[in-house]
Amino acid sequence: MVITTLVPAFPPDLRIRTTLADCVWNRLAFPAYIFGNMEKSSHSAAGANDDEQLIVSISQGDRSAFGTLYDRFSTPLYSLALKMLGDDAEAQDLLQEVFLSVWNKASTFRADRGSAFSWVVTQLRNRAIDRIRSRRRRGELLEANAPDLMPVGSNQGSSAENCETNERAREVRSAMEQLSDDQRQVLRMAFFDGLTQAEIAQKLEEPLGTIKARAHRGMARLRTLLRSLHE
Amino acid sequence: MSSERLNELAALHALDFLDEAEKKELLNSGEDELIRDFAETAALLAYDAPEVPPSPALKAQIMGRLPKHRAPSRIIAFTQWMPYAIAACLMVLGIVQAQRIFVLKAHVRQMKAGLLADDTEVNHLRTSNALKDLRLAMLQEGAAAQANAAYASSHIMVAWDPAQHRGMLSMKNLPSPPTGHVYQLWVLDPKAQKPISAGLINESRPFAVEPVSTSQPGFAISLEPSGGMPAPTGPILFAVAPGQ
Repeated sequence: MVITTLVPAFPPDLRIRTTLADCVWNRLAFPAYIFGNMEKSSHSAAGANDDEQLIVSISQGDRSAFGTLYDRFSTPLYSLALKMLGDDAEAQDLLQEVFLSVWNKASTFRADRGSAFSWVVTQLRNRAIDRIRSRRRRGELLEANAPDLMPVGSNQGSSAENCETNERAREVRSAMEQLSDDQRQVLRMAFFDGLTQAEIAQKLEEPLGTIKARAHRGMARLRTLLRSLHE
Repeated sequence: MSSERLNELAALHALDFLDEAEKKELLNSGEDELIRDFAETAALLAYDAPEVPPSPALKAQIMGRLPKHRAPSRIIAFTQWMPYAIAACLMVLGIVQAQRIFVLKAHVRQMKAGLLADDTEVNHLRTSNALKDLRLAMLQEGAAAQANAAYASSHIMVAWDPAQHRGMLSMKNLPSPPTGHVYQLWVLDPKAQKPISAGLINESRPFAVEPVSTSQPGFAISLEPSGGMPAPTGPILFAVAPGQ
């Protein structure tokens, strides 16, 4: 299948025509963030390096680089925040907090420890988990003291149907679909709900060892699937 | 550690599933690439969330919250230097303290040596009976000195060696004599017709006189006209009688 992709990372006069296969190696394709150091990755590594260069520029106070990084990362990060927190306002607040942290801590980023995307996702996820746990504690207190005041539902995923799926998301979701339901469920509960393996075991009423095995096999399978797309 | 075990730990680590012991086991394995690989895989799970772009206004809002004047690299650089700066300060403080300790030790050694020399001298004097006949006399304030507050804190003492007919005058807080006057020291021999002058005094000093008839003469200080007198003419300020 041949498609045309406009690559916003390049100036308009350098827009390139590319195939889906090429897109995999483009900055917009996820392997750029994961397997930038693999054999065929000269193209994709450029994308990852591009992000790292942006972080370096940000550490020097470059607002324009910050704006570019925001354009690249804000949608997946906001989607993740919304998925985890299930609340528009809180997701926006968290996104703002994370990007300001990126601005303030850009110099602490170490490219040898992971990609810029992974660095920012980790920051967002950790903060989201803190909020979820804090909310859970508040909820438990509220439930114990005033059960009638508990919220009834949220707007989680309310606008998800209207959103366009980009290539990276498509690839990841496709890989996720190839996992078993059990594996997918455990990964999502761990990643999006911030649950520990013990909490997942309790919720699913399964032994802890079973949860560990599903998580391990799920992650290993996901890694293999994502890598195999580029070999 | 088997590669299967490593893979399992790295996969679970990416989901924050490891306890401290397992985390340590993994991080000590040196398999950084594997750990990173799984961490990157986990980060990509972000794309599994339904895609929702943030409000377009949010970017402007965040950009607006960035500090207007900032030099992040400089700030961070300082943060990075801070541990080294603290270490350097501690090192300098350590050197200064070590130097002070060295100086203090040298001072203590010097003082010990001085004390040892004093002990030796005292022992020598004791064994040589040099102090046996030494007379120590504290001079008392006379009426003229008692009437003058300037002499209230004055202390005059004489150490007299009868064998050598010489002494040592020690003065403390003796005010300067009035203009045109001097203090004069006298040795009082009961068999002499008049006090024997031991000279003019303005500070602690040794003195010597002609042989006297007693081993315990008296001493006196009077205020005399400049140049001194052959016999006391002015008021007796301090004195101690012979034999006292």
